[in-house]
Amino acid sequence: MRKETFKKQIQTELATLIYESAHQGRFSSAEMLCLLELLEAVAARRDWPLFDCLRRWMAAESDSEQYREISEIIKATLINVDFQDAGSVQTNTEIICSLVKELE
Amino acid sequence: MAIQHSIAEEKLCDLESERRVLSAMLNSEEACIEAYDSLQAQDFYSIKHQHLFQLICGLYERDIRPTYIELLKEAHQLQLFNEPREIEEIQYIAEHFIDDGNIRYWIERVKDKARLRIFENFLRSSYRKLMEKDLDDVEQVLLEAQDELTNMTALEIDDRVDSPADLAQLGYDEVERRFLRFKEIQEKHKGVLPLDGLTTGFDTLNHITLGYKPGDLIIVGAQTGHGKTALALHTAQAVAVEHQHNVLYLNTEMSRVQIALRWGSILSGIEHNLIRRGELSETELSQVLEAYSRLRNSGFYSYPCPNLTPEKTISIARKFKVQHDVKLMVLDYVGRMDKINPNLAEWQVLEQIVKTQKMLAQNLNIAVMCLVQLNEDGSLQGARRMKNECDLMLKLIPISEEEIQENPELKKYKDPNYYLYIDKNRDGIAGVYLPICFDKTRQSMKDAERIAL
Repeated sequence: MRKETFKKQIQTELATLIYESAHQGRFSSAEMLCLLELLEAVAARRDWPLFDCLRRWMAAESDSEQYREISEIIKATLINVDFQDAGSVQTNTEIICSLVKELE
Repeated sequence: MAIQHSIAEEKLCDLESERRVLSAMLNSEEACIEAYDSLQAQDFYSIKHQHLFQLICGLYERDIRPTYIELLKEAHQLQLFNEPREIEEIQYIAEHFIDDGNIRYWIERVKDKARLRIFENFLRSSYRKLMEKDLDDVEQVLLEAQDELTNMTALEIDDRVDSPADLAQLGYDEVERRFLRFKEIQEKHKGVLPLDGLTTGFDTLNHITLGYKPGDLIIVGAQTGHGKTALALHTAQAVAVEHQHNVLYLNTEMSRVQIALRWGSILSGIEHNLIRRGELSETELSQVLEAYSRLRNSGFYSYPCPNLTPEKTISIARKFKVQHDVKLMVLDYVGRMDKINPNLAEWQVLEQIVKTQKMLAQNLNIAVMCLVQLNEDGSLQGARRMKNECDLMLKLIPISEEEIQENPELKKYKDPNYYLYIDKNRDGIAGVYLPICFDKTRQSMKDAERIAL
């Protein structure tokens, strides 16, 4: 199978999974739209520093109370990003990065 | 009778082809343009496919690239596809990805089945008539059927044959419209003729042509360095900046920065060289900033494309017509376009390019302006037959110092230095020399002002 076709299939599968999970009530509409926007940005190979920040957030996962609290703030910030507005992406990336730093 | 039995569904529809077309639309912009242009929702047999086609077209019209993810977002907003089975089906379609080079084949298959369904419908209704009608007037029944069948086979959806009555009505409506307009001019506009199309940027040329009309192909010729691009941008300024109509400017020679800097000079009236060097006073800098704010609010869309081919112009123009309703496309310039067939002579290539542009203008109902290069003797380089294809041919010809001194007619104008020569005008007079002022330092043009004698 060609690499490009395979990648497209994975994106399609992932998008379906996100959409169906939201319809099964596993997360909200806002969360679903945010995840779809992120998936689209990855598919379009956007070079956002936000991605690196999110990877670091995942790597810093722990059971601590502090992690849970900061993660909630990161999530709320992420959901409010207007992905069509470069300014909004940049400002919120800075906020998220500084929050992730606190976890590291 | 066989017709009484229902015809097998698979003969009347091709769901596989429908899926492939929809999938290609989700995966490739070229395919999206092609399908958008060639198909209608009712060409799809499946109701779900019809809805998907409409959703994808709706996204595309709003300048949103219709990907599977965008489709899901749109569906969520419109509260569609709530059943898992529906999503599975759309996912299945999205994964039917095909190479967009084959899109025409799949579109044709979808169209053929749609035509077959229309034919089936015709057979059914004819059969019903046969059963229901009192068949005294067999001739009439057969004529009606023949008429319907001819329309189905001979004519494409967009084709139209005007009957004598249609043509007479059209002619009368046009003359009446012009008669009323002429009266209005005399009463309200004090003799100034309103345009039929887009402004040309020159009052004298507007008066003769009544503007660039939808479907017009305008060819502008000049020698190298004698104002082809300046004239194109002057037209764009008049249409897109001053009249706020959308213009698509395809450029094969200049970079984005070069185009942007030229606009700074044209709109601010500051010399192009000073802008390029940044040699500006504070006041001039604010003049330039003000100029760019006018450009920001204009309808000027620029597409620098060094490897432009005729096929590419078609798809770009279709896209901009759908998404931005462009009224004018400028092609700067024809001689720099890539050859379609390397075996053809240059004049054949240019002729083909110009033919394509004329078809494009008519099909999209926009005005298309092509810039071409003139030889040193003022003749058209490459293809004289280009002239046959166009509706209006303009040439920019420098006026020599000698002529300015000797020609008494030119003395009636203030500082003319170029002629805008109307070499061909399908709708009006040709062979007219219009004196203009071309300020090379500012890349601006205007009608030469008449001096009161």
